Amino acid sequence: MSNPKITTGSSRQLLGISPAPHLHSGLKTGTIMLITSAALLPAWFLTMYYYGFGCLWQFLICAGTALVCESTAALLRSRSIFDNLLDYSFLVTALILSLTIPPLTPWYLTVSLTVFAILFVKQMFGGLGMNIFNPAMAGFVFLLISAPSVVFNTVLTPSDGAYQTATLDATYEIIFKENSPLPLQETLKELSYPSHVDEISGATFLESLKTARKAGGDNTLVHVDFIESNYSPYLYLALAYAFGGLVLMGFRIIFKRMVLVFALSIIVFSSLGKLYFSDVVMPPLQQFLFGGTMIAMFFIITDPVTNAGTAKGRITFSILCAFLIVLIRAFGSYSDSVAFAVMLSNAAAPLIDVLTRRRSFGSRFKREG
Amino acid sequence: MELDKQRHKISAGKIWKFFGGLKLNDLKNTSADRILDLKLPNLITLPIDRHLGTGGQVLVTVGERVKRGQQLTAPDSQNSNLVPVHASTSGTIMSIAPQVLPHPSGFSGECISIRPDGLDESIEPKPLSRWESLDPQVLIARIREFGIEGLGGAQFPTAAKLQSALSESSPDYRLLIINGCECEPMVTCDDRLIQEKTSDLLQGIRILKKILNPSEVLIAIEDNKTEAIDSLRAAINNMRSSTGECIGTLRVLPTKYPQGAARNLIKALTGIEVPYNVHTSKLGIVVQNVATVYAIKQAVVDGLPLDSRVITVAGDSLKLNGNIRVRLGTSVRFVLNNFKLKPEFHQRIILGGPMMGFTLPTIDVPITKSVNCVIAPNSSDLPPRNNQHNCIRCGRCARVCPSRLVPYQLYALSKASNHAKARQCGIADCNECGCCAFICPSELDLTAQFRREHAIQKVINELEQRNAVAKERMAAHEARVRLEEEKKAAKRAAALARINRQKSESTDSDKQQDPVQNPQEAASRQVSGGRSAQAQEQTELKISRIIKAKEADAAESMAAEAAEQPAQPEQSTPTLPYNLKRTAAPKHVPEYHKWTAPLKHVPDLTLVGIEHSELKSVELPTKTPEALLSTRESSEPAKPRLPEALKKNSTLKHKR
Repeated sequence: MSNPKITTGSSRQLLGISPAPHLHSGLKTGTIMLITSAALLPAWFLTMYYYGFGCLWQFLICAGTALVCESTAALLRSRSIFDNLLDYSFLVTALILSLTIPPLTPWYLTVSLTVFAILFVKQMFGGLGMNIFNPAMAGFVFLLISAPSVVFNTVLTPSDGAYQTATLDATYEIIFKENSPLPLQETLKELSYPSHVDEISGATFLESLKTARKAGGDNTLVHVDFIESNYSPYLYLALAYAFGGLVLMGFRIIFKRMVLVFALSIIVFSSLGKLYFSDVVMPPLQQFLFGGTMIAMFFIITDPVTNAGTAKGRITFSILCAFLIVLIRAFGSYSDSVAFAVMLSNAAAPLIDVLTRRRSFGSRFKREG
Repeated sequence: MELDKQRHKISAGKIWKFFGGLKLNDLKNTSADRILDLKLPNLITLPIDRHLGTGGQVLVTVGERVKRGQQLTAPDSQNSNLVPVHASTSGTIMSIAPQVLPHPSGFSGECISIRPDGLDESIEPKPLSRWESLDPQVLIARIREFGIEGLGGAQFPTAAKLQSALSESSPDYRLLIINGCECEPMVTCDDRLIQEKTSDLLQGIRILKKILNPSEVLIAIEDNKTEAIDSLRAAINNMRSSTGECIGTLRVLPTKYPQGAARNLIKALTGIEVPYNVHTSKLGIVVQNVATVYAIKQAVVDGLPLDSRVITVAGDSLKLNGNIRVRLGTSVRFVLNNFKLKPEFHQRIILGGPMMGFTLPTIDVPITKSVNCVIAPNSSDLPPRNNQHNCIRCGRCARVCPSRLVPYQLYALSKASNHAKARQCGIADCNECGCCAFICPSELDLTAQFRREHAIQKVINELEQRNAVAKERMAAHEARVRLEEEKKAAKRAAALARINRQKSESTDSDKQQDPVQNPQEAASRQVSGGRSAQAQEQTELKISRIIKAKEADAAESMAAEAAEQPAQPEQSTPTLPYNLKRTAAPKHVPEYHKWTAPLKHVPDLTLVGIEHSELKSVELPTKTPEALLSTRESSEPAKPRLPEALKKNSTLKHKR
């Protein structure tokens, strides 16, 4: 007998113990978040080109605030700060926020909406993975509801070469020194629509559409041709988002069927809406290219945390979200509806989870064979 | 009609898709290494706990000389799930004592240790000549007697499986599936066995066919084992051309983990999902691993009991890798030494494949029938898991779970000790394949948590059963007490009535003696009921008098008895000096209290994270499941004081 007296206690310290399985796919949360951030970058640079450097400032403010908030939360919950930051989820939130909020939002509003998004929406529910609502969307809705006039005044019209007009200095003055954003807004609008400035009442197309709808007019006030230079920025931005989305699909980070079903439902719902409410519902192409539909399709509704769990649930979720986007755009009182639609669907996600519970293994089993 | 359609599809070679699963890297570097025989070890340890049952016997004594193939134990004859243990080489019995078992928690169990004498003498092989003409029951008995159990990893007794298929399924459609999938990465022992022992395998399949008489024989093999497929196909064609016998059809399946699990394989081959609470053999579907089939052939045709098996030894911490045939009971240490282990710091030794295998707390454990692989990886080969993050509900686990579960949900429930809800969500369907933990981007130990949950569920089930039995017993007891009381009451009522009757008779006679002088008075007496009250009083008095008389009788008789017995000398307490008495008495009292106080302490349920409401139906006699588990973790060298079932199949969270 070699050594019968050997005890498990002593050898436990010598041998490594780890639970099965001993293999791992290698895809980790941090990697997922970094790839998502990278996929957002083309659209982000294009946004800077068409909207000026306000976007960069917003990103810096958001990221800084998010970093501080995450660290505070980690300290309060006595977790390792380093571990908490290494999942890079704050980076994705900051990027999406900087792309959704108006580029000239005053810094204090950006800070407060980020604090709201990270501390209240995310960390108060238990941190990454536990939040019910999408933090970025909740932050945007926070801004939209608490300061609608600021949003109206700081929205910019995308135009070719806006980066030359809305330079780093000019945007810095507006964001941090509280200079009036109106001159810059007007300039960009003139740049964008040199021929028919007067026809457009708001800064963005959706804004003017909403104003027209409120006034009781027809929404088909201008013919929209996306190849034409007026509206081409929208098309290129959409393409940039789509490219990022394809990258995510290539890495199998987002669920393909969900995106496809979302696009299909937008088309179906808007075509149906066009049939019955032709004066308020936009046609499918405009639904896709204006507002935040594209970023929502690839980056926001695909957020796993605030989504339903199973494949069936996610598909239901995306159908619901598409329906709400079309509905609120047609009848809501805000210019864009994506944030509201996403948050409403987030709230419905637990219910969807219950309704789409998957059958258990062998439940269709019959005595046969 | 539908049934026929399904059968037609099965025989037409349709291959279904089972839900979930993973496409893993093969890592099967050893598939070209021939099976070599490992030399005899210097110690053989054969665990006998799971082979004995309640009425089992050990047939040998310490010091006795045994030969290879000699039967060492006789299992409980009532339990057909038990098979005997055979000596795997010749030598002397060293001890029959508890030894550490190959288990993730390092449990010990009763083992027979043999010191080999190096001669390797074996008893006379007893081949069944002309087995083709024998009754299936004889063959099944042979398979049981020669210790054959499932060698795929579950170690389910083959004879029991075949018997239940024979007796419980309809004879008009039976399906025999030979499982050569071997879906685990790194493991190649079945692959090599198919390549080298092809004709023996076909022989084994013929024996199984003889027993089961199946309508269809499917040999399932994954498409990454090209050489095994080729040799098997050639052998089948050869047999068909030479003897005209069609042994079965080869089904080449796309490689997917965990296709080798019986239920997934059945789904892939037949499209039938067999629920986890139904045995597959009850449907007439028998799945046998190729290694088991080979062992059956050896037992029946060659007359050799199962005393060795093929294992794969792999891992970058070993200088050599390969496939070997080892005698059962050889220690893992011996195997690793022969493959030139170069241990790194905190070397992990994995018993089983990298997906479902477990790390050993000690390598001085025997290789049993369920071990198909020993891996000694280094940290670049199979990198250890880093720290866990929060679940981001990405749903990848739900997409790969072959049992159609939602693992992240189960994980959250199990972590929150919500055992009732976890059961509702199907924790029983989890077969711990490890797909969810493999894919999890947050690197959560999902499978480990589910193993823990399984252990807890087992304890809860046991407690529930115990509780149900106790309740039944209590109800029976109450019913009995009630019956007795009713009888007593009836007796009392009868006695009262009798006394009343006597009383009334006596009063009647009184009346006759004393003629009524005042009939009005008598009538009013009767009407007011005063008389009856009086009678009551009188009867009670009477009863009490009777009781007193009886008591007096009893006292008398006792006194008489006492008088009869010889008077015992009165025990005189030794008189002690006054001060000594004083000091002796208080000395013991505080100690007594000190020792009894902690015993009365009931563990606080909330401390261990169990809510009372969850276990409402479960009466906890002394300890909560978690408390039980924690005692197991702490009381290591001592024999675990746990339910028998828990000891065997459960795993715990290892040392953090």
